[in-house]
Amino acid sequence: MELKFERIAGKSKPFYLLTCGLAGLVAAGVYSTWLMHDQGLYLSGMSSRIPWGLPIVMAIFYIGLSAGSLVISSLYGVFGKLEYKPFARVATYMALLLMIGALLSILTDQGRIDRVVVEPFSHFNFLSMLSINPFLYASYILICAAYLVVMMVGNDKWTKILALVAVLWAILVHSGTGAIFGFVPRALYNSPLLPPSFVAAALSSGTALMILVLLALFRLTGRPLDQAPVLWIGRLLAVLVLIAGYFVLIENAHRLYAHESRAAERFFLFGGAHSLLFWGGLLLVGSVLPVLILFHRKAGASIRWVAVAAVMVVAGVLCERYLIVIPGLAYPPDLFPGWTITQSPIEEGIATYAVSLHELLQALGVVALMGLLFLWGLRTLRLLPGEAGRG
Amino acid sequence: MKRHRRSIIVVALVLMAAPLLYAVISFAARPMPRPSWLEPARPNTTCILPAGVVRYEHMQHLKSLRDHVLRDGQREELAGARAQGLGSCRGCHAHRELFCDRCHDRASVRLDCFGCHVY
Amino acid sequence: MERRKFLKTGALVGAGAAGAYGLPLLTSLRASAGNALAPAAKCRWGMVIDLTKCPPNCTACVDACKRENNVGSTGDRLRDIYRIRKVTIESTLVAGAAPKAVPLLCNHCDEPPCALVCPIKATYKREDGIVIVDPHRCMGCRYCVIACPYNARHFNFRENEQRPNPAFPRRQHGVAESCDLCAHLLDQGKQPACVAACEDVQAKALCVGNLNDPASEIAALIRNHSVKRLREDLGTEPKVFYIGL
Repeated sequence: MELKFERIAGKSKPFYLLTCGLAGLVAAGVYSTWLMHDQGLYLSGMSSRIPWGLPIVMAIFYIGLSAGSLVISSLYGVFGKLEYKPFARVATYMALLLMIGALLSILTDQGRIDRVVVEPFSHFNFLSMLSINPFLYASYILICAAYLVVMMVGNDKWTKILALVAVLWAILVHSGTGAIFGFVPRALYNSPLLPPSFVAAALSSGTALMILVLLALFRLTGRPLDQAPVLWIGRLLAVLVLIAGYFVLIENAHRLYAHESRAAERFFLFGGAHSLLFWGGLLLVGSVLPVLILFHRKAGASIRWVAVAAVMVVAGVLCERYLIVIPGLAYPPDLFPGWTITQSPIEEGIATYAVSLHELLQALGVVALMGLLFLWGLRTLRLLPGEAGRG
Repeated sequence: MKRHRRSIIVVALVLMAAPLLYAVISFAARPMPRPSWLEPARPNTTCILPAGVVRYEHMQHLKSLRDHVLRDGQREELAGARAQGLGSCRGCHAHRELFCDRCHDRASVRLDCFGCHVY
Repeated sequence: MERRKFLKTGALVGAGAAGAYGLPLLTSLRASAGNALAPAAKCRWGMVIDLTKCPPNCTACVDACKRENNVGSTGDRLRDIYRIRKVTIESTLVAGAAPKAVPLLCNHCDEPPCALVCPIKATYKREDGIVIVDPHRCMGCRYCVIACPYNARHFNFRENEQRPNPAFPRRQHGVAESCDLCAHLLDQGKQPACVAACEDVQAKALCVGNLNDPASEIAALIRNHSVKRLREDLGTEPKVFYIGL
């Protein structure tokens, strides 16, 4: 039976209400961004001690989710499994949108937006991760777009080629993003494990998000869902979460053993509110519980429990992205071993960071924009499987 | 052919719009007529470059000068009889609101300099 | 068949990425490598801070720097910019040790992590060894602030209205900021503001000079005293030497 793809009508009242709500959030986000760039970034919660905050946390979160979306798409594109063909287009489109959201997050976080659209194109520093990565992100977006186009046109040969290129490029992209943090001399950043750890968490979070998006989409548009492929993806998710957890454990164990990072790691594990995010968020809710659920004989076979596990994985990886960025900046470098700084005109000890309203609105604006683009795509492009493919 | 009718129409529109766009952009980028009044320079002085040249090239000169002074640490162009730089401009053109801003406001070119530099 | 295609495509992608980045990377690395001992003829700025001469409650260098460079303070400990700052340190290893007052500033490393990570070379190391931010180019990504292992760099979170020195520009919000050894003064043959102020208060604890000139005061100080640099283990090769740390 030929699988046909179709658009959604997009004329129902909930659809219009959702569109209006999202547009309002986007407007609030644009206003917040403008305000912060007109008056100064002091309106955010960031400081000279913690110069990166929510925008960068969300950016790396979206970048990670984007890779994972490609996992589901690649099950059809690379491995040719036909039972995943109904999901491939939505997954690729999501990967594209998430990258756009990530780039937007990064763009609006710069101190001088008028320069960030000009300078990187004329003055490259090939050694800087922040100049290598935008190149990777831009080319990755083009590859994903081309992959979506050839899939929609129905060219099987090029679908296979571009699917493979997209997946391999995604690994490069996410290793690069991990390297932004891993190749910098801060006690909680400096690690060769950050790139692969980043890739692993990206794959797990993206797969989990796609499970949720597909379940929601099929239910909201009244399409019957074949449960078996989704349950299989749930098993895959459990394996991906285990791999991601492996990297996290090795990294933290090493930091605890290595003398030069031991004090910083103690702060990370036990020294603040973020420690709760690590033990409770990343480990318990984000890794242990989902794996238990997904490998459980009964729960792993229930779509509802798989969805619960997916929500937990996404939340856990969001915690992990926060834990990658903020604690490493909060912990001060040890400038005077054997001495402690007791007086200074600036904050020399553990710095704190609290998200400000402007930052929050800006982040919500980016989410809302991605949502709007998603709705627009569903309505304009043939992304969802149609009548002929059901059953 | 009929299936792609919409795409063909879109492509045709874009192709027809291209010369129109070119015309609009050329018009917008046309050389700007002088504003009716500019504060006269200090009497008995000559600019570092002929007036017609400096009017259209002062941005490149200032840009390369700032890189030369700041990034290379070479300050010889800032001194001497034909001193360059914003400070020396001010020696002959006293008020930016009556000189620089007159053209820049007309051309809608926002100046980044005076946010940090005193004129 | 699938595996062979996978390997072929993977090799192609890898070769493409490697080519796109490998060649410029290699040329950049070659250009930035080997700066261990710059040729003797070229100037290489360094600084010596003698803590034995630095009075505990004196902030002359800090005030002079703020005045010279038009840097204001608002009392915000997390966002105020201090190109040079004085901290007090107390021993955690032994009881009864006297606290020390230490000026901290950008160390103008020979292998600066900040210049390495700046995506547009807005922060870069000049030929004469000064690490400087080009405020015309900086786009405010704050990667350099993160990369500095000395917490010596700051970011302009707010507009600074004060302008005590009309001869020098100020910075708008949105760019990074860090001590540049008063490069604008050094280029004119004058002393940095902090060094001049320290001489004015008769402490003479700061000295800036050419490390490559064996006859300079700074070279003599380093040769004749036991000097230490901050975090020498990191390999950043800082050029600010402390006596009495």
